[in-house]
Amino acid sequence: MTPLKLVVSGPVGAGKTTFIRSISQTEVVSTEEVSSEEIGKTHTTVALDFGQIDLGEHLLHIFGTPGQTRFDYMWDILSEGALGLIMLVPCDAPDEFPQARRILEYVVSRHPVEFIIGLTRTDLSANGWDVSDVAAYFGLPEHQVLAVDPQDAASARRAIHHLLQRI
Amino acid sequence: MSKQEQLQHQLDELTRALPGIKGSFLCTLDGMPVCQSVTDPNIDSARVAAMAATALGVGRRITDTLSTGALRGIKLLAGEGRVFIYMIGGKACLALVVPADMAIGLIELEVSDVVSRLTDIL
Repeated sequence: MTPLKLVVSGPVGAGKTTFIRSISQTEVVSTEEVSSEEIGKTHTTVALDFGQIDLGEHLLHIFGTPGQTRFDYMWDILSEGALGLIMLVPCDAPDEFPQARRILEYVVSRHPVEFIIGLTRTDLSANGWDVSDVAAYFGLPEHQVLAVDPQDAASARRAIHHLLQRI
Repeated sequence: MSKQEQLQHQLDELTRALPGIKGSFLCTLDGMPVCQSVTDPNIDSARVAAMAATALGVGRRITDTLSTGALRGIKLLAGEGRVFIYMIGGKACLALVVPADMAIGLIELEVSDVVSRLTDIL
């Protein structure tokens, strides 16, 4: 059974590592280091996260990228041969939206991947952007954007299924 | 001397001790440049810092998985050059870019001193 490769990307603090830890059925390979910048958390991914999900008919390999532009070569390396991309975007950090767009354009211009936007932190902020705002920002139909709680395995799994329906 | 000047001095000394070296780069483990001594203007120190962090991040996962103890460094051997990346304490690393024909023994001798001095300064 050839595994299907999916990529989880997005700006710093969007919840990429948490997302993969929530849904992986195998121990997640992470590469976190102490952050020397103020990024709202103590650690940051410098290479990749890797997890797996067995869906019966398919085995999914899920790769998470770093969020910072200095690691953009990892966006490219990890997207090689990927079928789909989940771009996580924190709804309460609109100043990170341009970075999300930068990552998306970087990946999609190099690799023919289907993608969805997963809007995170919607439970944490009453005045964050909603799905229709974010769909408009990225110039996408609303059904390509959905709210995701990376800490909730069921929510993360729904995002995976939503993406797989497009592939 | 400020800490930054002391660190810079160590890298500059290394450049003098290893004629032909293309650059030495002190970086944080999350891929930010701290200081560098560069003789090859084509090398982007921000790029080296990020890639050194990525290489060490993957290297540390491998040594953890194989229970081979704490990672001390990584060597990349290529056709026309070599890249050596050494851990400096628990927060930083030193990357060296050298031509392929530079004597490895000389590099190791110089670097072991510099690694301990940089560790002390930090």
